[in-house]
Amino acid sequence: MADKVICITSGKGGVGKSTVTANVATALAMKGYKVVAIDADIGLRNLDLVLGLENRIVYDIVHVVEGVVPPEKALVKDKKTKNLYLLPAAQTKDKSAVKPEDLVKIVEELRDKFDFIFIDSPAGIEEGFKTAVTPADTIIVVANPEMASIRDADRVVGLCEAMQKPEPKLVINRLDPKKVARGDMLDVEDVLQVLSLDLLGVVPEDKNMVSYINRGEPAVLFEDSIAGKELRNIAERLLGKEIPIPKWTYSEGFLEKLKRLFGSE
Amino acid sequence: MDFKLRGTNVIAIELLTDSSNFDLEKIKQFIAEKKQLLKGSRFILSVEDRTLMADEVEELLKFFKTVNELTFCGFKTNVKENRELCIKLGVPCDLSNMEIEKIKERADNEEIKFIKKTLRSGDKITSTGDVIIMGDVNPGAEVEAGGNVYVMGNLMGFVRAGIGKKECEVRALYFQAPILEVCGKQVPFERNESYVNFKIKVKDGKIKVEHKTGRN
Repeated sequence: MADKVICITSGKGGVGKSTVTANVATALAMKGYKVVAIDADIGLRNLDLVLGLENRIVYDIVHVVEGVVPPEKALVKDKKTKNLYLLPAAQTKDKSAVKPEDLVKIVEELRDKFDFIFIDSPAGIEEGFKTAVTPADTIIVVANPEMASIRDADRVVGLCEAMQKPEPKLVINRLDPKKVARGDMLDVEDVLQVLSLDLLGVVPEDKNMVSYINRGEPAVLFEDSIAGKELRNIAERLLGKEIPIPKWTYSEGFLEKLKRLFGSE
Repeated sequence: MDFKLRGTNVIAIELLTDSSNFDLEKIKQFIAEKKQLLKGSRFILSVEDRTLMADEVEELLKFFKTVNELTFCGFKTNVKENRELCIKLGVPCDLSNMEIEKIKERADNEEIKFIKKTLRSGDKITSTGDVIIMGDVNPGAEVEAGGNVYVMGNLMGFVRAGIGKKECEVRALYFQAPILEVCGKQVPFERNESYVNFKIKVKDGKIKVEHKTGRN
């Protein structure tokens, strides 16, 4: 499989890079693929929290770079999902502790042993971002439907182009159909008008997401989670299956129509 | 006062005037003095950068009728209003090709950049002359040009056109940018302003915006 090393990035912080990484990696592991998620956000690690593995970390990526342990030894095995491994970031060092060539070396060592390697990129466009993108075969850009996020994502796409990477794929995260219907949020078309990328998926806003993250259980583990369902679809699309992207439209209920008619919120 | 003449006896002789030296009495006097030189020629009066009045045109026509040595063929001008006035009075009037000559002159010593991709946030394109972009200019991208800028796509970023010049134009198929700079003048737009077939032009120190109704 050619597209085995996937980097997830966004430019802007807080749009859901780590959440998407954790969920898509978990979804693929649930399907039986051997998956490793590498946290490249050195100094501000949180992929371990989203996966619920924070209390099992002994060695991290900086130990691997320094040669203290081989990569396999630093991997943390997920207790809930078989086949899922995490290579955690160091919390005590900063981005300069891992150079692009170090990450390329680690990825090359892991490449034969895994079906998929996910790299969770840090926010920003400095060296940490470059380190995370360098080894990647495929890049996924996560953007929220808001101008600030879109502009940052656009910048990142430009930088990836300059690094001669293939055109990134787009995941729109935290779309709220209710707000779109009211005209308070940009819709998918508006985002695509600026970014003009291949759309890999649209993840709707899910009010339970915060609690999933706090509990350290990815949303894809829950059948009833609306965001989880779409994240599972994204994993399927990465495998090459053609699943149509649902139209996230919202129609007002009878009561809401009535309320609007009488001008009360 | 001396005026410049150009052309040949065979085709026509042109007398060149502009806003700085246009004076009815002096033109009359000049022609009267050069009668012998202009004998038998077809004659054209060229008026650049000056708007003619109806009575001025009539007085000139009256004067040319008294001069039998030459055949008055009409006016030549670069001002639209003059042409309209002449048409109204039934006098032949050509728009001068000086405009075209100017553009030709510019294109020879300035580069024309042709960009076949979408400019993403953070990209910057500079050119001493014109820029043609076959793609979009996204928010956060910048274009700086000494000449005109043509965007065959969405213009949502920052464009600075006509740097150091008095005339320039910017065109875009779809326009939704917060600000533009044309010939050193800043033109701000409202947040939700958007236009289809957008065109902004600076000529004679005036900014002219043309467009079809917006998408929103």
